[in-house]
Amino acid sequence: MINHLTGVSKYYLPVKTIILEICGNSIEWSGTESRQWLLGVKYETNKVVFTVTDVGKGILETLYRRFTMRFFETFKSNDEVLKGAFDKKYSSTTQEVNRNKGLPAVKANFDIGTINKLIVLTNNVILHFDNNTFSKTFVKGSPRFKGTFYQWEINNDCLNKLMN
Amino acid sequence: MITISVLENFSEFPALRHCNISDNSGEEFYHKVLNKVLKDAYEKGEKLTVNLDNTAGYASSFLDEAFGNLVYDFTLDVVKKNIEIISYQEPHWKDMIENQTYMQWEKRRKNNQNPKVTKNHEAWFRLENNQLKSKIWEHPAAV
Repeated sequence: MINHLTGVSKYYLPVKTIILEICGNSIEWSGTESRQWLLGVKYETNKVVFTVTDVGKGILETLYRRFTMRFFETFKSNDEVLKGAFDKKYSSTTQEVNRNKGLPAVKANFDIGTINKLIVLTNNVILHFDNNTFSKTFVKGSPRFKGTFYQWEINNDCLNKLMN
Repeated sequence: MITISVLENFSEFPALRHCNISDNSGEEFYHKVLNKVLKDAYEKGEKLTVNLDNTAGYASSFLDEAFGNLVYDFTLDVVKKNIEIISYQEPHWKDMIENQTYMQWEKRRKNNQNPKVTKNHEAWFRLENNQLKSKIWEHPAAV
């Protein structure tokens, strides 16, 4: 990927981190058949687009099973709950205080700019991290996505953020 | 001073938390490498330096499991005094280990919330009443 953008072959560490975090969640929590997940990479002019998809339970369904939520959280919209998971707002019912670093690690890479245009689609929610006005919880009766889909882009600005 | 690196002493491709979900896991790194080298450093009264740089990249869970188990087996005090982490390429990992993982696993240790192992390991070292003891402390949960 770095070779496509710069002509120099080397590892881009944030991509490995993000893919590990996502596939780790997929195979550990989402209950996908045979622990399968799918990686897509599209090389475009001056940017590379990544997608990762699994067809497990989806983050929200998994969250409601795994996490204890305070009573008032149940009144939040699902997109707010999902944002909370990326902000590490929920503690694990497994009582393992050291867990729940994966989704925040994905968001941290968006926050520092090593990836762009992060989108997460899961169950009845889509989050656009770069433009929250497009984020939403689907209205009741709309089709739902049974699983989790991530998309993000990397361009030379992202590479420069890592170097700096 | 004893120095190891994940690249030279374990793998260029560190992966996920437990052995039952990936090769080159944090659990494996701990049991094959990290536990023994800290035991050696502790006995010799030397500092252990662990270099995280130059691999293909990390998942938070790999580092959390490997360094967290150190705290569980050797205590936060011993780990803080005896380990230096180098992570020039991605300094946020050093920050996560030292400011989250260490404290969280010390809490686990004090609460006797045992580490989970997902395969059978050879005996490993743990400090008990300031004495190093070697045995198989945990077994995989029966499926």
